[in-house]
Amino acid sequence: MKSPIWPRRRLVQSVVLASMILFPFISRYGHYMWARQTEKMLELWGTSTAGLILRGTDALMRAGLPMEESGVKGRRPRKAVLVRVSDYVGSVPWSSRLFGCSLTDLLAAAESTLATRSLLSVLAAGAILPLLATLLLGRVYCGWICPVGLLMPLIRRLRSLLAFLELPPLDVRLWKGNKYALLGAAAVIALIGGLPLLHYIYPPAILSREAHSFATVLFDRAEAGRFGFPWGFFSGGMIFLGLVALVEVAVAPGFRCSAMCPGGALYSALSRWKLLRVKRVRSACIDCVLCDKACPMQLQPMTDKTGAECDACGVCVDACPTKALSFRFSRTGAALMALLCLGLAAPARAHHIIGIPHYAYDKSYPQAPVLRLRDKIGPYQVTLTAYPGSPKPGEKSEIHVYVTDPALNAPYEKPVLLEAYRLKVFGFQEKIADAGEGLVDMGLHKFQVFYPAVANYEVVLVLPELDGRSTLRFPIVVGEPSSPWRDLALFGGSFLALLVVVRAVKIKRARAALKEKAA
Amino acid sequence: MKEVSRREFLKNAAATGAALAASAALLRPAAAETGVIRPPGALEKDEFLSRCIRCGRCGDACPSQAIMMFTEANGEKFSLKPGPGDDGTPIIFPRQKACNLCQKVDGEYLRCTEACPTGALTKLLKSEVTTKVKMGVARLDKNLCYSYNDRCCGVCLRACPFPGKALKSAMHEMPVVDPALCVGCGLCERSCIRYPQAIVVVADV
Repeated sequence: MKSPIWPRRRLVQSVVLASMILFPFISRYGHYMWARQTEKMLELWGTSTAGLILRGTDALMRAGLPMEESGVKGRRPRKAVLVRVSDYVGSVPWSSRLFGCSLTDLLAAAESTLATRSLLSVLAAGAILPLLATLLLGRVYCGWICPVGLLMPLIRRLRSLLAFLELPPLDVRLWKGNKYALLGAAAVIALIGGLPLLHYIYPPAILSREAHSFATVLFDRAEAGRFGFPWGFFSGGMIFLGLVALVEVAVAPGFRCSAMCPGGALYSALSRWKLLRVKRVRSACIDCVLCDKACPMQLQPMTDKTGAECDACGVCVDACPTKALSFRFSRTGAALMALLCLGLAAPARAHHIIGIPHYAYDKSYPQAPVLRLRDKIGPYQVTLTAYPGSPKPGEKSEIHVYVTDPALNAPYEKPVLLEAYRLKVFGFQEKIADAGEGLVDMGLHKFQVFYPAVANYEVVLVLPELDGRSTLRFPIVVGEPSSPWRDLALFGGSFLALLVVVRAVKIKRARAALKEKAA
Repeated sequence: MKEVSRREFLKNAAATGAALAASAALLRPAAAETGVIRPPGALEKDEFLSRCIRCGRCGDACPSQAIMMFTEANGEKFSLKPGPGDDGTPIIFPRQKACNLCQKVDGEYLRCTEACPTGALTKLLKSEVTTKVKMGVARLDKNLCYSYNDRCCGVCLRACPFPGKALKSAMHEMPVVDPALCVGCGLCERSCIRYPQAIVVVADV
């Protein structure tokens, strides 16, 4: 091996990560293309984050196409772009459709199959390429494709930073069988309970969902005229990943992939008879243990103890000073690989999709701002709609309340009062509208509420002539109020960074002083 | 690799199993309760949740962007909360964007059903829409409907993809739902000009 392996691996991982972030944007761009709204969106959004992303996606998808549509010069190409867009669907590491070829994660396929106790042909078709690749190459998915691999160097940096700050991180090694136990237990649960659970803790699934949620939230907000960065897109999955990273930094480096990942367990189990292995030239080996120390999976390449756990990351090959280690293929392996490549090269192209969806993405379409809240009070069903559903501060909002008895199918005819409160931090609230009766029209109670500022509000319905629990609360969000938790996290984070810097400076000074003394 | 005694292995396996079993027991009933509207071709409630891998490809494929991935945030506007098993599964809020049954796009199949990698959405031909799609059924509240209250409206009749079949017109544009023919696409709900909507799609048929 002459050139090092890690740059190539980093490149593949980066491409996968970039595609994971990009694909949701591409499919959203496709929606706008279908709706013939791209030009309008580009104009409306200008140079906001969403606007720039849409512009970039547009440039990427139109690359190499002439500015011409149906023979009209100067018009944005549409049909050709729509064909291209359909080549990039989903999320590469979890489930995707690339150039008409379906690819599904083996863990997803296995769990879905077990949970329903049946294997459908669509599922098998998507899982066949990953399965072949794993059988031949082993855990390459873990080493080369899974985007978590990009976190590893970052974690190593943070660990060395901790060591520098004289807070030596622990180095706990967990038993590798844990992940098989987890996989087995999940398989049993899927089989008995019929519920797939592993996608809650499997990073590629979490990341692909978060990427989709990011694109959706960003563009949805831009459609509603809000252009800031969408902090609220991430979910519990992201917090889980953050915690795992924290444990990796402080307690057990690399435990996620080697001892906890159910996907890793499945891939390891399948790669028992793989054809691609790290081989050692015994005569060249000088027993320096550098490869054993470097291995992120905590294996021992120096004594040929790699086996099925090896994810072919090539760190040991790079680390070897005498080039005694290298990847080797068996000849049958090469032949099978050629077959696999043939299979990859001839997928069916996704077909042509042209058409116009039903709705324009138009601000002026009056029903776009949607809010319809429901609740029950006594025998009555209460439905509340607000127009606009997400009002801007200083805007009047029309609230319609419909109270009906579903059993009798008759509207409630006694008075309904409405109050509005502005919610402040930690449960305090301020009344902004006193209880008042609205206009009664065709069985509806119509109110108008004026929201003074960006905040969380609550409108409270009071039904004084109904016994017992006679108020109902509905949340209304005006603008994008900041959450106290976000402020707290921001403050805590910056405070922590400050502490780290202060401590680092202190230690540096102390060391310099020591050196001077010695001199 | 560290040598592990059989006892330690059993302990580990038992702990993991117990934790997973507990979470499954907690998740299951909640997941089965929510009566939300799924994309066309979706399997039965429990089977759908088992089959779906929460990849979001149906949402990517939907040309009118009607299919959302169920989260707490997007359900909030409709007083719908995902049960723990519902997180990230595809759902349609017809009032926000309704499914137009791929009427205006090319291709033989409904695009979400074609995109599904697991068969949680059964692959359906567009010509099978009337017979095999049942996302829900439209329910009309005559107290709210303009046409039943001396004002002619008829917007839903014009939005329905099967006018005269699923949604029949009585005198003065009064809509009449035929539950047997209604596929639950929600175009009527999307188009209704009344606040709150007089015609809504409900999932539990």
